[in-house]
Amino acid sequence: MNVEQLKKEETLSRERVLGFIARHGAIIGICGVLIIFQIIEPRFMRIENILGVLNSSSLLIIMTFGMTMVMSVKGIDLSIAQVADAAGVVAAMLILSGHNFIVAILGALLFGMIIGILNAVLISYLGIPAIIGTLGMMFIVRSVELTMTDGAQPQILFTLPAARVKDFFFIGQESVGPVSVLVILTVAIIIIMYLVKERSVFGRHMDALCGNVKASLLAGVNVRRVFAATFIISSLLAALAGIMLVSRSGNAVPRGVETYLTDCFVAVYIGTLVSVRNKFNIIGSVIGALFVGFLSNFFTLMGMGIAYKNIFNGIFIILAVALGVLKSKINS
Amino acid sequence: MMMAESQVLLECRGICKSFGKNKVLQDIDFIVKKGEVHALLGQNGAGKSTLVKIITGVYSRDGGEIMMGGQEIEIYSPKDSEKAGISIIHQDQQLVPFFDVTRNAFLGSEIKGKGGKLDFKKMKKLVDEKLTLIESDFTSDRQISSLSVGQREQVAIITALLRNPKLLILDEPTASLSNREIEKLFEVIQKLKEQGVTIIYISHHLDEIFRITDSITVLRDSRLQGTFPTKELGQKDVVSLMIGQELKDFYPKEKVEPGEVLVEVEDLHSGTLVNGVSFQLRRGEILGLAGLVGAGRTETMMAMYGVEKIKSGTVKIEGRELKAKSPLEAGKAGIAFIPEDRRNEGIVAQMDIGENLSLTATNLWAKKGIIDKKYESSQFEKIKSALNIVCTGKKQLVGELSGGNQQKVVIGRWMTGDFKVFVFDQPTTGVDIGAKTEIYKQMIALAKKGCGIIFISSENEELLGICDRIAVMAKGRIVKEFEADKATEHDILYWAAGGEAEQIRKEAKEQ
Amino acid sequence: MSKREKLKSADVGNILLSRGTGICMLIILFMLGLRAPLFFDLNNIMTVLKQGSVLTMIALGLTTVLIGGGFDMGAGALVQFTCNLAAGMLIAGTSVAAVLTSGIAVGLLIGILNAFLVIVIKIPTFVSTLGTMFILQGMTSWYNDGKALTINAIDGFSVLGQGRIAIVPVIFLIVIAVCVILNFLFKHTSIGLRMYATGENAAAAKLRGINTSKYLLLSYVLSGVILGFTGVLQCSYNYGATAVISGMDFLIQALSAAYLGSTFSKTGELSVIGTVISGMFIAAMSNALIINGISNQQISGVLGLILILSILLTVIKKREIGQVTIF
Repeated sequence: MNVEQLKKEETLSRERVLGFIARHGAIIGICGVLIIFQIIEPRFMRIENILGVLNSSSLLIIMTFGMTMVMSVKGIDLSIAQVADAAGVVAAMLILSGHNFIVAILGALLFGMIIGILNAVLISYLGIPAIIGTLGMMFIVRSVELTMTDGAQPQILFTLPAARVKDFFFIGQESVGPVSVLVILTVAIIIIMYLVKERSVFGRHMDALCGNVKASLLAGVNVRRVFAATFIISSLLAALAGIMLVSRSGNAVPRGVETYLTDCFVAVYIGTLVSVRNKFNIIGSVIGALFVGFLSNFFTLMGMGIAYKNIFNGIFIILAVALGVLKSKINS
Repeated sequence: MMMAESQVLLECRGICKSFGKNKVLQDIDFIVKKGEVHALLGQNGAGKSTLVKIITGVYSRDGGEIMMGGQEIEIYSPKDSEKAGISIIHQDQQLVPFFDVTRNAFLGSEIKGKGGKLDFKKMKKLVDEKLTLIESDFTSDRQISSLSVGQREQVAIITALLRNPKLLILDEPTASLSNREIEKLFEVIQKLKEQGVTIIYISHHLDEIFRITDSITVLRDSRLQGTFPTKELGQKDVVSLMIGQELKDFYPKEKVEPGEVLVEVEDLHSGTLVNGVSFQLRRGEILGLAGLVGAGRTETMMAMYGVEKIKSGTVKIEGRELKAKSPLEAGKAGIAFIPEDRRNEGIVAQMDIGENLSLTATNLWAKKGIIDKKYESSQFEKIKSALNIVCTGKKQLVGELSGGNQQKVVIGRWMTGDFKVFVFDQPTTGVDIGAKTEIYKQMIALAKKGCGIIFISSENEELLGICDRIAVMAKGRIVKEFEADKATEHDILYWAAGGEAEQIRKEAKEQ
Repeated sequence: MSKREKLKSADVGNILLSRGTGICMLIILFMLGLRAPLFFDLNNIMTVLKQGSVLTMIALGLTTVLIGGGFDMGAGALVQFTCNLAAGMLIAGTSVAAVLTSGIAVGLLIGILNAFLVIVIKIPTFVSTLGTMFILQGMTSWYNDGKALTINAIDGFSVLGQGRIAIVPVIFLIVIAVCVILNFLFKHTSIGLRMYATGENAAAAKLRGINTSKYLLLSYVLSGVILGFTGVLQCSYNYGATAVISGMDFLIQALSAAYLGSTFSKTGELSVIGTVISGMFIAAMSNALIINGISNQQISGVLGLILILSILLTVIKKREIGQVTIF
């Protein structure tokens, strides 16, 4: 073979390798990492551990859905963790002041909805860039929360008589058979959100909005309403996540949820690997959130501090998106 | 015809270019004389833009030579082309919105003073000189975002002038300009000619070509059809050189009996470009809207369609008044709108064909809010065969389709649901001949079904071929209505260019 | 309305907008000061200038990268890291000069890393800097083992953060110096002009033959240097590093200052001078609120409100929807 033919073969096989990585890299990567974890720490894949991770990840999964919705229409919601935080506090305070669990849950959800509506109006109807609007809202919610709790006083529920809190703790601490209520609720939300985002008319309008706002408008899509709705959904889901957390842990520690914001981003971006077109999507976000959960769990089991979790979060999010870039390059 | 060597500025000899098996330019001999305004004409796909891209260094040529002032030059990049003294001005010239005129003009070739500091005084002076030269009505410290489209084009022109080009290429310069701005541009071109600048003028507007150019070169199907002095040609000659066949075979017109009145617009005012428009449209009718750019045709439809606010006047659809505040409301009243800018306002390139088709009446494609995949597939097949969309399947991304097929997807969107009024805004720009015919057939099919069609176009033969009636707009009003078979292109052009004013003057004289 | 009248009201609106933010800021501070005249005390003003300096420096670093068209989620994390690094090195007895150099070097490296991810790997700016943020946070907690690193006053070092020349804080003078240099760069050199063009309309810049990648790289590198240095400065001001590893608080305050600064121009253009004024305003306002007896808890809320209201003025005319383009 002459030099030209050799060179051609080289490029062909390199392309083949890259193509293989692009198509299967995500699955191989995630499975590979989990297998490595299992090898290093055999306690990792035990049933109790897995169930524990599923339970603790449910909060992140719900919150990540909110972020997924908003980012799918070229928005962002920086206030999401703060809303979860504050909603949990609202629920706890309502219980502490003697209301029943229904009032507590509805009150917290209402709180989330109000913030969502404010975000929606500011960003979709008045035109404030989402990053600034939700940034400002995050500050405001934080202020409200700190004022309500008199400077971040934890709202402790587990010291209350069982009769008062039993119903409220049902979500977070009870099980139906072998499966915890938390997981059941999460699965239900996954199904609902999947239908809403990937299969419904609304979801299709969201895609259109992400691709071309002017064309969507002229085709008859109610652009402002769709964009606005994602922020309301996001805040509602955040509030739900906050309620779930408080129900599970028995107390609401103000500002405790704030670190979940960046975890959400990791989950959302890892989730794009699942989509052919690198879109933000629901199932991917579930996988991403679980991955973050397992990652955190592994380092806890190993007794390795938060440093490792952070470093690997960073490495994985970069790898995930780089893989996505490779994928879209190969596809074109 | 032999030309004195010293008269020639740009000579392209035997230029060839292929993309894969597709031969885009074959053996092009293109000569531009010094100091002339030379028109370059050709349908989309004839090779015009490829030739220009080779001259400006964006593409590399496969064969042939380029010579400037008698000397052969090598052009491998835009910088080479600029060094050779060639500058190009595109429509939608990219500028930085919050920079002022001076900064935009000198971006990339800034003048520095002592210690590397930018010498704004010097730059401003040079810009002011050029602005005075072309008699602009704005100063060098104006922010780009505050200038109109025509003014921004002037900024693009002086940006090019500052580099002292020998050859200036204007690519569709009047595409988004108003009447007044076009006149201004012609004055500028005249001034440039006096300064000895040679200009290549690319445009589809034949009336402009005949006004300001000295020579015409026509490309067709990757070959040069010839170069002629403008004086020696008539519009019909140019058109037949461009398309190589008789106009009449093109248009599959079928006469339809008009039904009851579908749309009644009375004294509509909106923005600054719609100043009292009134017309009627019947079922089964195709009404053409002719006029020059800036006459207010699209703006009138935008007001009817709920995109722009109606200041006064009424729109009645099937006898009921419509005050649409959004396209959604207009759609519910039965109005379908196919926008002018397919790429930016029509398709969502990142979604597939099925998704694009379902954007309008999405509810009809779903059961209880969830998209019905079976219905989606069957509806896709129906629309695909009705419009003859060439694609690999429902899941192909619309961004991958050709211009004509993308346009068909935009049209196909409105075939689900009960739309009665169809507004087509320049539907055949940049569409190949085969697809054009299919789009015409679709319009006629819709008319036969009893819909009313409003057809906005700047190609007057197209309007004459397809429409039943043609309304000519000028300065925001309908100035004349014709029965299509009783009008000629000349009539349309006459009234579009302000014939009414002349008519009034005539009548006043006779009294 | 006739055309002339319409033009006039738009003009007035524009002027109000361009000076409006400044006037509003002064009014707010003035009113707060009236209620608690201690605010106007010269000593207090100097304290405010000192307090706002670190925030303003971070905001300047962020503004630099924003102008070039990038984004930096990790700005706060970088500052935290070099702050910890400086504290650790000083505790181990390293010279002040070495500490300063190290801080700047780390900032430079991180800037190059970010630029590499964005330009070469072509990862969107938001994600790549999110990634480096995580890595920096991890490195910070690995380095300080979860503990605060406090230092004593050190000759030649503490003067940077805590010293004064006459009554003016040194750290504030540093801010002014950096601001002057950056302003000269952005407004009076071709490099700055091209950086602005790259950030605002990269397509136009490319058409003019400008190598936009070069200028994006420059904006990340310059930003990194500023942020790395700021970490060392913070160490001097704060007598060491706190145990907190999250730089998010730094980031969101700096973002607020940068975006507030953009409301000084009609077109929402970012500027270093606007950022400095806004950064100092945020510090001044917090100070004034505290003096007025409003608790710490409400301050962030007030900041959020001001941020939203000021941006509202600039966007409300455009009537677009507030989408973001950084991913």
